[in-house]
Amino acid sequence: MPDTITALGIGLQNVFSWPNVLIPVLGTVLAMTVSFLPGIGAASLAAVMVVLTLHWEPVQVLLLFGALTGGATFMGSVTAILFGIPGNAASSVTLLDGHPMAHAGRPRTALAAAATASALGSVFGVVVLILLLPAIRPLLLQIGPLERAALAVWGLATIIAVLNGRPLKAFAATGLGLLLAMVGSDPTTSQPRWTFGRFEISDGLAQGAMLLGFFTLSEVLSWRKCHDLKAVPRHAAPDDTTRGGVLGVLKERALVLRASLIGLLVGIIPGVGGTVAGFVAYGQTVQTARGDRSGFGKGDIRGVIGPEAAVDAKDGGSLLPVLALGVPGSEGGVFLLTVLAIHGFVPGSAMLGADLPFTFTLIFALLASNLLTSALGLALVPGLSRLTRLPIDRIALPVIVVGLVTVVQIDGLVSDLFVAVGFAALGYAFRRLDWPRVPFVIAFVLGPSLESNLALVCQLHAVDRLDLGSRPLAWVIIALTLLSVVWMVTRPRHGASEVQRASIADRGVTILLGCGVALFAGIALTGGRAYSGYALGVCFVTLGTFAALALAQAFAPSLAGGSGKERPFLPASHRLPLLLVAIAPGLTLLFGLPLACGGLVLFWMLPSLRQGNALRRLALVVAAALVTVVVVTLYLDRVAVLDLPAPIVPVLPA
Amino acid sequence: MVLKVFAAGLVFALAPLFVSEVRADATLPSGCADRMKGQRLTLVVPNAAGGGFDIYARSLAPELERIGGVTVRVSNMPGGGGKAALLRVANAPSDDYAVLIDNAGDIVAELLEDPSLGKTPQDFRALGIVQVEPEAWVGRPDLNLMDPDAGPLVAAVSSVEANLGTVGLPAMATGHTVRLVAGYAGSGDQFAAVLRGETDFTSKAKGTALRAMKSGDLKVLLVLSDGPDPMLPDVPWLAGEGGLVAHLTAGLPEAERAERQKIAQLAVSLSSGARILMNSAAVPDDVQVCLNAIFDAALVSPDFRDAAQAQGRDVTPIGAQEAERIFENKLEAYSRAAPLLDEVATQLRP
Repeated sequence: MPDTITALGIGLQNVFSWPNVLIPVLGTVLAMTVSFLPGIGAASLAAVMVVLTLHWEPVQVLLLFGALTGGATFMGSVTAILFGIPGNAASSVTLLDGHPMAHAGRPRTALAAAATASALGSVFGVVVLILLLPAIRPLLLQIGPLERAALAVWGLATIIAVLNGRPLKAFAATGLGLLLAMVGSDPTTSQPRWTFGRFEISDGLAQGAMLLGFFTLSEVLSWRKCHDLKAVPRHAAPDDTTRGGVLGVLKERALVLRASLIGLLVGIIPGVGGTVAGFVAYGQTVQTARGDRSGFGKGDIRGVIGPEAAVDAKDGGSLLPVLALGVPGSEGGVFLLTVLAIHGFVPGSAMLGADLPFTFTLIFALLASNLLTSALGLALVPGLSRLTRLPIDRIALPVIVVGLVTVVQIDGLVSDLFVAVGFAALGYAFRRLDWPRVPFVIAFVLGPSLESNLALVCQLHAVDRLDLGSRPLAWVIIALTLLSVVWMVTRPRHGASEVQRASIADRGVTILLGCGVALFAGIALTGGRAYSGYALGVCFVTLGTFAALALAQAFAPSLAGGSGKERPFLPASHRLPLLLVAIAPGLTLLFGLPLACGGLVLFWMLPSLRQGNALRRLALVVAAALVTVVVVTLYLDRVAVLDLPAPIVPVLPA
Repeated sequence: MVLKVFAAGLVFALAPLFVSEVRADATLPSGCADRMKGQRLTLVVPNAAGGGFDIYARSLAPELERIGGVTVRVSNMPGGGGKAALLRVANAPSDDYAVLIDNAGDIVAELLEDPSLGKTPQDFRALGIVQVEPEAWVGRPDLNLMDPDAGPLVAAVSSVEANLGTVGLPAMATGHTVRLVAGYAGSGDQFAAVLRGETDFTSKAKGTALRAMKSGDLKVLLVLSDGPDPMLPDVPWLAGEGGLVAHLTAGLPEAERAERQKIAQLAVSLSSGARILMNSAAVPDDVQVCLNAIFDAALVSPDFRDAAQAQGRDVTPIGAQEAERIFENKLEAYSRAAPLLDEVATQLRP
């Protein structure tokens, strides 16, 4: 068996020898390109590459798959920062602060910070991965349902950090997130709950549709020549430089380290994934931030650095269960396991012994890819940042169309459009009424993990297979959670106090959401076995929180505060976009997605006929709509290979 | 420059696909070649890209194109726990050739247990079976199921309902006391639970079990078949002569032994995995004849077998007629087992 140093040397040589080095470069460029396409995830690319590389040499295949794992994440953050469209679920957390930075004329800083934090997180992940390899098997076997439940609780505890003086709204949003995360089926009994007889949501409300609706569509609704746009600078802020972004990260070394550790830990845990890593890291970033924390969610660079470092550090961690135990920790892990099996590698002792040089080849390919992605990202920053200078109302339309196509593409369900539009409306209300969005999303993302692992812990306890004394890692996480809660509660808080004023719309939304929660509670009470104690508990605590919030708002002074005028909840400029997005799912059911997108373009652009030569503009509008129909059709048919059900009114030929 | 390197890489990757040997076309019924030429056929996979069904579909597609002259697409529709794919195929118009690849048992269960789908097994026709394999119990290496006192055993499963036939009925037949811990996310999570010592075993398709065994820390404990498995000759099997049930019930009265064997046989029928290809019964008969012929030829083609095996998937091709019979048997076994499954569910629910 070659010793570790020799194996390291062979691994390095495999990656950086000519012409092998071309493979990680090609793999990285391919992964970056594909991850820029809406909805085409790393999984689709990996599926194709598994077949195409059947006859390759094992080392070449490891180089390629290491690169594919590393190259897919960063470009998702680029679209999240520039346009508010997360290229993948893990990058949705980056848009919380990255997109506001771009909006404020600092896209270069945000992109450079994301690229640098990604690179550092990735290096950290890989270095720790190499150091942990000899001891990894016993460590992995320490992570079970109890540790995962503790980690989810830790993630939820970070919500306290983002209360910003609105604890009731934050708790209500958290409850709502946990509640909506339970729609689908009970994790233990598989009994459907809150599905209203629709099989489409029997696996739960699609996370991708939720993220795109809640963040992207809800934001784009307000882009169409509205009064908000007057504040958006067309030119970069004077301090917007690549150097600024890089230095910003280097100044936050401790944050990068903390976030990378979180990413690595989450990556090691099978089935948790990068989205959780990003959101837990974001919560910790806010919680542990020094100085003013009021800028989080509005364009604080630390809100970009933390999640980016965590998401890339996770890549290294996610390799561990595959290599050491043959247990895939993620979608990418499944493909890697398949590839290893095809080319004769046996995960477990062999990958950590005789095949150690191959293991290092894979690890270094991942590292090379992550570094190359960041380097390319930094090199592209000036060009990419110019995209934000396009007139924003012209970007909005393509963003909506791409968003709708992506939503449908994730699971092949047209009904996910309704989910996305529902969350878009919720996100819009949250944004307009200044409800905290982060607690809602953290709860939605962590909810399923929390519930299923708590259920497992209870069952294991019942069959006497859980020895609490032998789970030191769980106790460490629980202790960290308690410490951080105590620290946050006892820290002096900045920001406005709870509900000084409440608008009519605010009160209306609280009552509407409260009624929805009450409906859920009623169903749960009469629903039997599908509704566990956890489900009922969450339901009634949320209902109680909404009742308390409604009471607080009832006794609060009006938002008008003496001026006699309230900011309109739904400005005139938002009405057409909101209407168009709202009817998009119905149009899709009736006429199919391409025609629905074409119709959206047509109606969106029609008001422009009032400006200038109407006939010429009409021709342009119709041409744009037709091009949209053709492009969406070709994309669905040839690129996404998505076979949607026939529309009710089949206008286009099949 | 980058584009050139990229193009060179793609050519490098695609090259092996173009150098396969040229073979004579399979013979199709008269008129089929013209009838099907240029038609589009969609293989609908009820999971995301990757995994067994996807691998089979993508391996089969080139052979279907070569033999039938059709254009084949593979469409992944994981929504609604696979029901979106099922409905996509069931609702396909008669001129839309959509074919579902799924587990026969899962199709039967979905159609019988969810009347809201508005479809019955009669809405589908079998085109063939890609692979048949038994289910197997995988667990800690020191566990000996031949020991009647082994237990109580704890099994890691995704849900109780999905494992009534694979864990509940076999346990009832052998007499072992089994408790289920339900809610583990997938195969990896379930294997990890065994490795951590939280549970004793889990139940998986034989191929998955064999792959898990290769890591060295897990063992195949039992094959849910009615005879010895040629790939696992030293592993006990469930039903029939010489099987685990026969061994564990040796001292019992004859009537009870027969009853246990009946339950074991039912468990074998219900749990065996048949990766079946099905299309809508609305497809006209003349087209169905052509599709049957194309699938029959593609399923036995060496290229399909080699492509699937290279990705670690075995092929046991079965033609349309036999596949239809297997599907009906599955349906019949499911109906016959319903009362027993209810009883098992009551015992096993946590």
